Amino acid sequence: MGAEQSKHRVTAQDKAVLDMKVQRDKLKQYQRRAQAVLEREDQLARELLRRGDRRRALLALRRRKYQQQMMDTADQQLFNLQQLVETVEFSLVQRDVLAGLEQGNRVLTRLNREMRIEDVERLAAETADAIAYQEEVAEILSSAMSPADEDAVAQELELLERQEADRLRLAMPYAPQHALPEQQQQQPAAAAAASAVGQGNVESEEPLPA
Amino acid sequence: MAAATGAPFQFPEIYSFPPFFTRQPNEDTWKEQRRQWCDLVVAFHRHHRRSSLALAEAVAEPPFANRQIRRALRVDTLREIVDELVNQGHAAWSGPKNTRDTCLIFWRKPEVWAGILHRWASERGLCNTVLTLYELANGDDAADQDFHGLDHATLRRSLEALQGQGKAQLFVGSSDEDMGVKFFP
Repeated sequence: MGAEQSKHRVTAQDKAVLDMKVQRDKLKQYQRRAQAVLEREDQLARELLRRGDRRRALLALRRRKYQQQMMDTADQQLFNLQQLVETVEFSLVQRDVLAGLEQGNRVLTRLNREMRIEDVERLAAETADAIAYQEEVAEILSSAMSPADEDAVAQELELLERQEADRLRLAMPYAPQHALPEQQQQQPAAAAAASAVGQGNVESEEPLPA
Repeated sequence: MAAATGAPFQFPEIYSFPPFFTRQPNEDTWKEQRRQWCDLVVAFHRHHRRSSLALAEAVAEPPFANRQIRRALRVDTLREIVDELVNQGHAAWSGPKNTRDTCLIFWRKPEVWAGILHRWASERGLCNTVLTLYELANGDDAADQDFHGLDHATLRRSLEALQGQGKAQLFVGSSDEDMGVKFFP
C-alpha cells in the first residue's frame, strides 16, 4: 500500500524540477573542473615565466583568461537556473496553498448550505418556545400542588412530628409504650362494633392511670 | 570520498600478530579470527571514510597486509571475511555477479544512513522537495554533514531502504542516470 501510494507522489513537475537541479549540479561540477584548470594554467604561466619562455607563458595566461570568462558565464547561468528552480518550487507551494484555500472554501460553503438561515431561526424560535414552556411548567409545579401531593406532604410532616415527639418521650416511663400496640389491635374491633366509640375511648385511657 | 583527517588509524594489537594473517584451521578459532577481521575492516573504512574495496589490490595494503611483520591476507580468506560482512549487512558485493572481486563496505549500515538522511531532510524542511543525489553527497548545503562525500552506491542503498519505509521516493528525470529523491515526513 505504502509503495503504491508513494509512486503517485512523484509528479511531472517533480521530474522537471529534478532536470533543472541536475543541470545545476552539472554546472557546479563544471565550475569545479574549471577552477582546477584555472589554478593549473596559473601555475604553468608562472613556471614558464621563470624559465624565460614568455611566449608560452602568454599562451597559458590567455587560456586562463578564457577559462575565467567561461567561469563567469557559468556563474551567471547557475544563478539564473537557481532562480528558476526557486521560482518553480515556490509556485508549487503557492499552488498547494491555493488548493488548500479552495478546499476550505468548499467545506465552508457546504456547511453554510447545510445551515440555512430559516432553519437556524426556526430552531432558535423552537428552542425559545421550549424554554418558555419549561419555565411555565416549573412555575406551575412550584406554586400549585395536587391534593395527593398535599396529603403526602402533610403525612410527612406528621411523621416528622411524631419522630420528634418520640425523641422527647424517650426519658418517660416504660409502661405507655405497651399501650400503643394494644390500642391498634383493638381499634378494628371497635370500628366493627361502630357503636362503642365511647367505650374505645375509655379503654384507651384506661391503661394510662395504671 | 573525504580523505582521512587528523590522527592515523590505530591498528589493534592483533594486527602485529603473524597468525592473524593466516586462516586458522580450527573452526572456532577461525570464527573468532573472522570476527576480529570484520571489526577491523569496518573500523578501518570508517576511519578513512572509504567504502569501495577491490579484493585483489587490497591484500597488498593495510589493513590486509602488514609490512612490518611481512604478512598479508590471502584473497580467498579475505573473500570469506567479506562474505561474513555481507551476512551482517556491513558489506555488499559489487561489480559483475558471482565474481566477488569488488565490494562495498558499509562502515555505517544503509538503514542507519537512512535515518540520518531523513532526520537531516526533516530538520531542513526539505520534505516533499526534489533533491538530487549529487547535492546530497556533494552539495554545499550538506557540507557539514556526515554523509557529505558518501559514495553514490551507498547513498542509493540508504535511500532505497528509506523508500522501503515509505519515507522517500527515488526517481529519474529525463535522463536515466541522474537520480533524484523526494523525502516524505
